[in-house]
Amino acid sequence: MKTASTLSALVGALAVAGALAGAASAQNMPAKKPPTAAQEAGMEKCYGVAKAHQNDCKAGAGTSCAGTSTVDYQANAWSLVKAGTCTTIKTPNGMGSLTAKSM
Amino acid sequence: MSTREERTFFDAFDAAVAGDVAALSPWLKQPAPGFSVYRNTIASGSVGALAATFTTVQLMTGEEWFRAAAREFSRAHPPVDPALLRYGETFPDWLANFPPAADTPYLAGIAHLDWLWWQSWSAADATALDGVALARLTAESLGSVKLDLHPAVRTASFETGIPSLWLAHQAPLSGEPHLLSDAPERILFTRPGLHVQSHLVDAATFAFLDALQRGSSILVAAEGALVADPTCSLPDILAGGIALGLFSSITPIPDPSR
Repeated sequence: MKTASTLSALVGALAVAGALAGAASAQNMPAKKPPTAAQEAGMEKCYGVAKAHQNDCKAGAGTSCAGTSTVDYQANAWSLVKAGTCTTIKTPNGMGSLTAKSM
Repeated sequence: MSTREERTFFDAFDAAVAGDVAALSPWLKQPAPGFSVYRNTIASGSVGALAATFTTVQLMTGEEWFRAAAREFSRAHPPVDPALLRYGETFPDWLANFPPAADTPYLAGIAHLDWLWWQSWSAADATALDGVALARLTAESLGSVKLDLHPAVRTASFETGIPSLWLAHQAPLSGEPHLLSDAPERILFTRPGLHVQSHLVDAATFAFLDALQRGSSILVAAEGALVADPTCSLPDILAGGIALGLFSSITPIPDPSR
């Protein structure tokens, strides 16, 4: 039945995957493993490291006195118009639910 | 102060942070205009943390709109954890029900992907499993062992092309119009070393990883992949997973019937 055929496919897949992964790592990585943090030379993990488009400091404006120059707690009247790339994003008509399933 | 009085004081302090400075008047001998500086620092710190996490949302809406929306959110849901790294988990769902975002229904999904990227980036390090360990598994054991995913693995499945839209915003922007496709897409985030990688994955790979994440055996996960796409290649899925460092260990399942 289905389980038996899946099993034989999987056994084959594991052997092939082992061989493929071994070959790939022999070519690219002497350690035969994906790179670990320590192997990425010259990099040190730090919660201040910047993501693209992002400030250098995660909590910069809030943890320094920079926040005192703007009045961030005041409520806006919601007349604001979006000004980013969403003005160039075209969506299909009749689009269904946009909810995500994730883990 | 007694415990009861402390609670009253902290409640009043919370209220003052939220805007009702008069709540603190029993403890203030004179007006404290300096409190607004403190209050503003908390507000702008909350907004700044959201701006740092939801970078793609901000790219799409512009900074002014984003910061105003983030202020609304942080007023309704102030941080409860001193580490702002963990602040914003409920922002995507909140955005989905935020009326001014109704004309951009993809924003909540984009926010969700920003959050998953952030989760992957800040997840624990782990050593990835190599193919040799997998090839050693015997046929009899496949129904009773599971493959534990690397802590930085996150996946999401959408009914539309939101993952492609998100990915297009991670590269320098071309200025060309973006099209949101109505074809389902799935995305995988992982961080084998220090850098988060994001990849679109097919339905079978997603089903396989999703089953593993839920603690299914390798056999059940493989069946899930074949149900999602009977023509899928299990060797490709496994080899791809090994190459990306998605698996961290092999663990026996106490109750293989699941």
